[in-house]
Amino acid sequence: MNHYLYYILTLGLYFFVYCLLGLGYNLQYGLAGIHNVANYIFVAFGAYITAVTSLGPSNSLVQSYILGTNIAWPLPLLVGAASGAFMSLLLGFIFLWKLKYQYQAIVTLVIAQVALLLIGNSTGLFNGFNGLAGVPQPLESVVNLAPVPYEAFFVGISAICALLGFAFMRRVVRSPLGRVLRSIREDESVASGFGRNVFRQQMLAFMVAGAMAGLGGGLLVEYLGSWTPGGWSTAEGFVVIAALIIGGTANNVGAALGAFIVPVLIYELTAFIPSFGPINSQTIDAFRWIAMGLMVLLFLWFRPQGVLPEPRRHFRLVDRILSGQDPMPGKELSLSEAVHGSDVVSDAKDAT
Amino acid sequence: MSIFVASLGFGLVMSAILALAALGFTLQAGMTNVVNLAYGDMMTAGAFAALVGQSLLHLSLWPALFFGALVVALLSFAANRLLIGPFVRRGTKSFQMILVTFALGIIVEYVIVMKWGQNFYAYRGLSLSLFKWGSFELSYEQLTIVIMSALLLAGFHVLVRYSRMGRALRAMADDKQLARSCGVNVARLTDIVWLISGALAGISGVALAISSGSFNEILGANFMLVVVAAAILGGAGEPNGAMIGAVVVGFAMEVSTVWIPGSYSEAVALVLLIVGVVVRPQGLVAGRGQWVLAQ
Repeated sequence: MNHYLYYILTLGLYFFVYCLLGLGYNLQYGLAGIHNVANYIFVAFGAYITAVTSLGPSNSLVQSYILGTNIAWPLPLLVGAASGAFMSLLLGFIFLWKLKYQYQAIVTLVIAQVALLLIGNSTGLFNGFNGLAGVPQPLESVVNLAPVPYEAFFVGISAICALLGFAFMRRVVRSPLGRVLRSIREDESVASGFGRNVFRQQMLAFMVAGAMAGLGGGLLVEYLGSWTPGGWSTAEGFVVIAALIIGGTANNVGAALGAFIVPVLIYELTAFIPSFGPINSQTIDAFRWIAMGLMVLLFLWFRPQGVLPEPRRHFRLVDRILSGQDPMPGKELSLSEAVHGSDVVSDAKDAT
Repeated sequence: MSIFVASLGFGLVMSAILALAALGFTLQAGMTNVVNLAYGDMMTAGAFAALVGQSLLHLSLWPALFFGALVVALLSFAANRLLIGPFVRRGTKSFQMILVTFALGIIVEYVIVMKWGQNFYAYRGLSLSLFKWGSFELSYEQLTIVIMSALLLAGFHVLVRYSRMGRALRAMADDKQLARSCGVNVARLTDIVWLISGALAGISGVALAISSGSFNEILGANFMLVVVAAAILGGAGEPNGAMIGAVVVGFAMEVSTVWIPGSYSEAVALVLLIVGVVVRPQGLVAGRGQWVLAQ
């Protein structure tokens, strides 16, 4: 019984972490329209920074890394998130300054590969291809619990992070920033024609997404206890993208649903396929990736908007005008006044 | 000095393989505006198809190479007819198009894993003798690859420059609508482009596997971004540019190993690409603005 509970809790952890990653990816791709194929480098960077700030000083006999410190618990996660945002700021200058569409996607892939080569080959940075191990679990000595209750405690922490991320994204989508980002996604030149600084707004979204990815990476490394370059290939990043495409692009609930369908259902439940005869763990793993690829293709063809499409947001005023009703009942107002008049615009609200 | 000369030899081989691969990649991107992230996995498929050719049909090394090319040409043709073409006709946005090819690449890679596992393989009939000329030394297979690549590239150049089909191809690259209204059969040419680029992917995949001695399921996926670097650096969508870019990237990768560890040579190519994209986005040979930056 105990190990079933443990397994369910593990699934819960993956669900919440991928929620966080999916929400962050939704912000940069779903809302801001940034073509980033290699979101996973920010997850990895957050994980590395969280690991080295909780491992203590580097002991070169065991593993060598930079910035080795041991700071009190919630701080490593926060530092990991901040470093994800900082990395996004640095790389954003390359990704977002001039590059668009396909070039942007390719350059993100290329940067991810360069990062992998640099981190993997330089053993002094984050212990090279061997990776970091022995990352302590948060507050283990403070709460002092048996493995399963501790697991539940940790899942609780990640659930709180995911819920905070969800609440935050809900606000962002409805905020003026969300509106600007959607307009940039639809047509950059129109957005900049209305005086929006496309680069700055996209950079803001990119940094927030980087922070969420870094936080997700921090949670992952604290749960797993180790982190190696082999664990964050481009294909891992594809899981996050696939989750958003299947769940529903530009829809926060869709991002959460995708985190349930792809990483949990496809990725974890296929682990239950019994291994016998020619079916070993390697073929099950291959089957999992093929299933995920096919699912993305099927969704892109039959339902490119995902299970839960982007909710239509409308201004009540525009709706009235389009349906031929009096735009502002009780007021004498011409159509052009209704559209351009300042008192009217302030009256128009996002319908929820 | 002798290390430097030896690295020139490896640079020559690398450039020869890269030129074939980059030419195929840039053809797809330039003619059909699809950035095909499955291209590297198509190269891997070629390497494994040649392996099948050796074990099932008992082919010797070079016939197996052309067998691999044939299989990938058909695979690439089918991929366009059944998957990529329908998505393009529907007007799928560029990022979703990239995801389509990304997913295709993952499927191809893991189908190979299902059949062959994550092990290393080598072809039968690789001679171990070296061609030596001073401190310049290559295996005879590598030398054959360089000559073959030069012949194929020259053949492609003649085809595009002087044949009727080549003229139609250039017209299509310039303006698809205009070419169509001038009576060019764009649908048939698109099929031919996917066949040729698939064959190039297959040849370069097998050549890469021969040159490195052994290969596994990530042969092409690991090489993919270097191919993209050569194609973009030379000028996206520009066949001559792809060849020049391949020479620059190939030699830079191998000659850099004289000064820095060989494990960084891929990073050298990729940094070249990043600098190139930022400093000279149109590429070394300024293309005619293909790879339209459409949404």
